[in-house]
Amino acid sequence: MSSHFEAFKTRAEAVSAEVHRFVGKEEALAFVLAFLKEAGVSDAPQCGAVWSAGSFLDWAGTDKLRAEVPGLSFEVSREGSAAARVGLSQMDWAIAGTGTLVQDATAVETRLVSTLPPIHVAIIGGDRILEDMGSVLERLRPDQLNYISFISGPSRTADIERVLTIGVHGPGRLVIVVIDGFEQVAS
Amino acid sequence: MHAENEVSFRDAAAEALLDPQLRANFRRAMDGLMSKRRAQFPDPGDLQELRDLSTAIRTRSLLALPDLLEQFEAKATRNGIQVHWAETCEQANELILGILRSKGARTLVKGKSMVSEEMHLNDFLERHGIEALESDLGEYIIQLDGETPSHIIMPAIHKNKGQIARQFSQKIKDAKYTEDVDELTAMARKVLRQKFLEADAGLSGVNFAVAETGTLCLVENEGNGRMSTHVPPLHIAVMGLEKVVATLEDVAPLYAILTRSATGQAVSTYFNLITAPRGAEEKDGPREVHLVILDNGRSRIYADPGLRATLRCIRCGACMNHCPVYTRVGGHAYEAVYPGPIGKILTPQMEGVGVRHDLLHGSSLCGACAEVCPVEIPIPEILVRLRREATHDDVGSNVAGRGTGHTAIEDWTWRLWAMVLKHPALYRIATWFATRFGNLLPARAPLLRNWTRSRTKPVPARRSLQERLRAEGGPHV
Ligand code: SF4
Repeated sequence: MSSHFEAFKTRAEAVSAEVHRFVGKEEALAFVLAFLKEAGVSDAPQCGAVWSAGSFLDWAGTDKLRAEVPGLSFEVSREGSAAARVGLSQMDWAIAGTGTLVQDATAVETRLVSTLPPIHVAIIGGDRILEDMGSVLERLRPDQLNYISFISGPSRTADIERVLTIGVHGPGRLVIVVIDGFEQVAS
Repeated sequence: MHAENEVSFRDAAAEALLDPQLRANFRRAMDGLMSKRRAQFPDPGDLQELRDLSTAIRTRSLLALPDLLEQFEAKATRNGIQVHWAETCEQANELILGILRSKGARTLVKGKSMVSEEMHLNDFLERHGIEALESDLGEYIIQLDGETPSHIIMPAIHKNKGQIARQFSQKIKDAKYTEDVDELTAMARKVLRQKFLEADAGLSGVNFAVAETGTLCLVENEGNGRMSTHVPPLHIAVMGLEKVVATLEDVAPLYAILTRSATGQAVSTYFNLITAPRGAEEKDGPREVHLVILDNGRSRIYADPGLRATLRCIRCGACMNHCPVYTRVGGHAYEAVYPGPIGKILTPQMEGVGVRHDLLHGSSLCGACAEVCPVEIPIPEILVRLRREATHDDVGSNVAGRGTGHTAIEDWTWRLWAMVLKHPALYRIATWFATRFGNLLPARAPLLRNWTRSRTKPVPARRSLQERLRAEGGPHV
């Protein structure tokens, strides 16, 4: 199914997202840690990062990560997310045709980390990329989920003279980490 | 009857045409929107297929509307959304005020909602001591100046960045003057972010409501719609009663054609499916989700099979972008919540053809709107139908104010016309005079002037047909 990757990457980049692909969780984790460092995440005020629950995080181990990245928190709150520099979350599906990420966002934490910090890092298994919206809706049914988010690129507006501006209310950067061989379990 | 009609599209349009800045702002924006939309539909066959499907979905949904609304209400209620019905805008406003007061809410932050514009909700809440702040960038810009949206998708498109820069530097505390669009956006973000975190309640519109699951669908790019639905502890959504579709499968094509037609995007940045408030164990997110469903004349429109297509509208704004009238005069000239072609047929139906029949004539019937409309609403046909409604009260419809949009001069003209046609002798005299002296009438003569303002004066033949037949030996007349 990762045959959809190239199409996904092209479409996601067309809506200003950044797409990275890794083989195996170790490689991906190394990238994420380096990224957080580079983004200046620390325990200083307004420099934290918030990471909402998911199977990738379970695998990586919160204790280990907390020790490695000062300022990284797994207790996601409204205020904490608003003060953070980076928000991380795991996505459930992706859509190749439009470069879209899809998430069961029943847990409000997932919405907060993907909306309030200026950078959002989204983690997704390579085999979770489907062809179109219809295929996703066959698998994620809103009658069972309180909130489903479809995210395509960073927040944008064209309200002033139709000039495209990124990062108006939501994040100004969306960094997508695609992991082959992740074998992501459904949420 | 004309006297009570205080607003006049003709006068407002004439004034707008004299403003070169305004015209330039619209021209540039509409050209951009048209070419972006075109780029999304490279294949006319594919476009038509998607339009056919979307039209069928909206038509089918409307056909079953009463049942779908009931089914939706039952589902949504079971999911924990509190559903309220309002027949009029006043009722809807009162309902929202009641909900806010019951929670002790004093500030409301709003995502984009045209229905709330229809209700003039902001003014109403301000009068009752509740601060209502628009958070969509375009809506925020016009709210700062106390203006109304000039476009349903791009509310501040009538302003250029210089005008916005001046406005921000005067109205936002500590703001410096800059025409850099990124910096202007960042200023608004800063103000609004704070307001989001402090607000007691959030309000959003609804693009589609799904009956089968009781889900509210929200399409947006900025993230403010999303934030309005989960940053404050209370979420209130408002929608017109025509928004319901039967199933989730219906949503995908409508969504695909909406974003492409509206802004020329294959997909919006955010698409949110909201089905329930926060769960019992959650710390954040709205404790309560309320939905106010507004009628405001829609069920009257619904009852008339010839007008019902008006309710298919998915508010994409494409008809505006392509309208030769709208692109020249802009949205404010319509002095209505919904401008442009859709506004021309919707406003007179909501407010009555008696008060707003001026809008019905602001069209050359070129048909561009119907050609681009993703759900194929026959706007020109409905316009013509409403023009008749405006002057006839015997057409057996329930359009409000029908038959009141005529003037004494019009009445007398038609009466005279009928008399002349009924009496051959009078007809002969009238045509004799018209052929001999019609040309002497100057183009600027009163009444004739209205016609000749944009057309050449008609030149009567030198002899009437009857006279010629008699002289040239045609069949007996
Ligand atoms: S009438 Fe058609 S083109 Fe105009 S806003 Fe509605 S759906 Fe769009």
